[in-house]
Amino acid sequence: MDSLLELLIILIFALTLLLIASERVHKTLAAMIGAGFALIIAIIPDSDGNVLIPDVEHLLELLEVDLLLVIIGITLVVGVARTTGLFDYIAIVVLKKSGNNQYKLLFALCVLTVIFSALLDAYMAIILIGSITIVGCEALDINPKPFILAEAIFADLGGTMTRIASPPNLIIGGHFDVGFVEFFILTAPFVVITGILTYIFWSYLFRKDFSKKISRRNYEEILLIDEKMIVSNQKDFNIAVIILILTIFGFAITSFLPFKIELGYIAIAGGFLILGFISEGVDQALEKVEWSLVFFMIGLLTIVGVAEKIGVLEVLTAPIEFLCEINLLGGIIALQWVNALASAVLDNIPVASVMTTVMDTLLEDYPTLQFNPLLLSVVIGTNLGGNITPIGSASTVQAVSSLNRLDNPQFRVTFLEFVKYGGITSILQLLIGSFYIIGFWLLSI
Amino acid sequence: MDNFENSVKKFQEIFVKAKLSDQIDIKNILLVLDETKEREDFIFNLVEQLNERTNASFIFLLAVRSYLSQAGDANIKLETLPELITRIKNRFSGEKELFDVALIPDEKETPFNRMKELIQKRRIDLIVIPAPFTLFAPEEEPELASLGKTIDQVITEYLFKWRIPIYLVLKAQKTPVKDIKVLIRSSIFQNDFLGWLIALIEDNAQIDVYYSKLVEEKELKRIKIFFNIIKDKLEEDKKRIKLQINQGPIYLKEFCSIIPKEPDSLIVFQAIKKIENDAEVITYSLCSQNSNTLIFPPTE
Repeated sequence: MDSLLELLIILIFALTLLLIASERVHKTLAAMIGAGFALIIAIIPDSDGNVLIPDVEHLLELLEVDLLLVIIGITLVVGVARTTGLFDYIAIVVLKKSGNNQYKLLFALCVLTVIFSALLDAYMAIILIGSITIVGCEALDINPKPFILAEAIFADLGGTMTRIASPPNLIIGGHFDVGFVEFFILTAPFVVITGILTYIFWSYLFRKDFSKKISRRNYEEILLIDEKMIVSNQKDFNIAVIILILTIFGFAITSFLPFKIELGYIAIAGGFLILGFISEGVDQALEKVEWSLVFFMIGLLTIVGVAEKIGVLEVLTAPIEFLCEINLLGGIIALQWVNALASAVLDNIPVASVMTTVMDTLLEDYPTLQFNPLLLSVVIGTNLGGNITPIGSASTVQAVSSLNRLDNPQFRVTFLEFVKYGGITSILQLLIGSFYIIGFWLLSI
Repeated sequence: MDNFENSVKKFQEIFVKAKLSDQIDIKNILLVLDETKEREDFIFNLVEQLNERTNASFIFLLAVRSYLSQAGDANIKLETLPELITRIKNRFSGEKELFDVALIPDEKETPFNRMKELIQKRRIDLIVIPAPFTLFAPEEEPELASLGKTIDQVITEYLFKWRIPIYLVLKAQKTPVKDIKVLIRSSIFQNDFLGWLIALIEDNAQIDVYYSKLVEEKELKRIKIFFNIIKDKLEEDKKRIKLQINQGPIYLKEFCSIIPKEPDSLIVFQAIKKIENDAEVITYSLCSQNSNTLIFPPTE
């Protein structure tokens, strides 16, 4: 009976992943269907007459309420703040400050992408910055391709930077209760170093495009844009700025408090406050919450939770454990690359969900294993693996599809072309990641 | 439409709004006539010029019939509609068939109401009107802070509420214009200004821009870029201009008092609700200046 349950949950998990990867059905629906079946399995009594999830309380334990509250709160704050024109305002200011030189423009857009991605999310960053890049490049009469592709790559890099930046970070950071500041201190130096090197590499890769001078007239026409035009209600704009800063400050301060406040608490408080103070209607504001992501997480965490309870996920740890037996550091580096490859072809959320179990097992089996390098290997791998292919992450998918919708065929990008640029850059970034992890390991930080 | 497309569209709209265009989107120009021959000649000259330079259609409105008795008192014989049509046809023979002619149907309706009826029926992009309206009706006589009943109503209703630009013809002047005085008081100003200049100015025209003390340093940079691009674009269009950008006052009243009183200058400014919502202020200032004036509606 137990082996039948194991077989069934493996089948459900595999089919769900296949459905998500195939994109035949919405990934949230796939996860929810999978979760439905997993829950049926979870109430089948085993040989001793016990059921895996006897009540809702046990189910809620699988779902990690803090993680769901962070998603609801953050998407509410960011979604409502966006309607005030705050992020568009910043994007226009950046374009105006840097649009007279392509290298400067690339640098400014990449930095802004990293910041938006780290504090909002990678997909939102590419929507906001990608769209102004398309329109701005058209106005400046320059090729948008190197910029958009760079933004997709930097969006995923920025997604590595904070605990709230991407679902994998939320899952892993939440599972191991890593503080907001602690997470940032671990990953920020990596993001800065990798960002600088990626910028240099990208500047070299597209040197022909970037050497084209921007016409003075075109740039001056950009300077004519009045960013204030985007702000329809100054009061709402100011409130959004204040609540966004307070929320981020709130995340940071949790690391220094003598008592524990989870990030979900801060996020949902920020969400409720912005809802209360901004003039937008409640129904419209609540539409900004990424409910689809929330239910995707609920579905996926249910499947992974049931699989974990049945004990099938430990099987996945075996190959890594084999490598760890030979060399612990080698095992961690291998884990980073396995994560990257898995995230390149699969959604990185299920990869991260499974990784929490793998990490638990490794930490339990190898008491000398350092936590920080292990955390970095999973975070770097799951976040940056998405850049290897154009279908690896939401930001790369969006970047490629936005370029391929442009009228000029020279601006379009094929799958192989993306792999040529994105793949090489990802390998470079992952290599930097490996050295960074080795550094942490050797310094025993 | 997805999130990204929406975002692109939003930015495109902002860029288009800010972009200087040499095209002005004028479909219909309403020309209000009051049978003051000198100013009417100027209006006809303006029609000729705008007909060459824009794709606009022209609607003539003989809006003076309600003042029939006042005209009689002043020994003025008002024109009938057939007479006006014949005059317009003679004046514009060989021109494109772009003219509609409207007439107030009875004597009870005011010029303002007749204009309202037209404006409600069709899109009007510019109202050209003699100011004060008629030189014989006591109701239309300018006073200390008024350009007469009709013009005051036109400014209050059509400029501020309906947001239609108004060209006030205070006197017969040379056209195309050789001398333009522009007052800029806000960071948001007409981005189709270039199109208007192309439609209105003569080669070698002098454009004096006065920016108000309200304009911040950052906005001043934008204003300078804006007019320098205009200058470059006009030069590409083989129209040379002399451009001067000076600091000016906040209020229109002060502006009118400091600018040199050139006989053929055109005053151009954008009305600002926050600063002077009162039509009286505008009319008072213009009375003192006695120059033809193009007023853009407020954008905020």
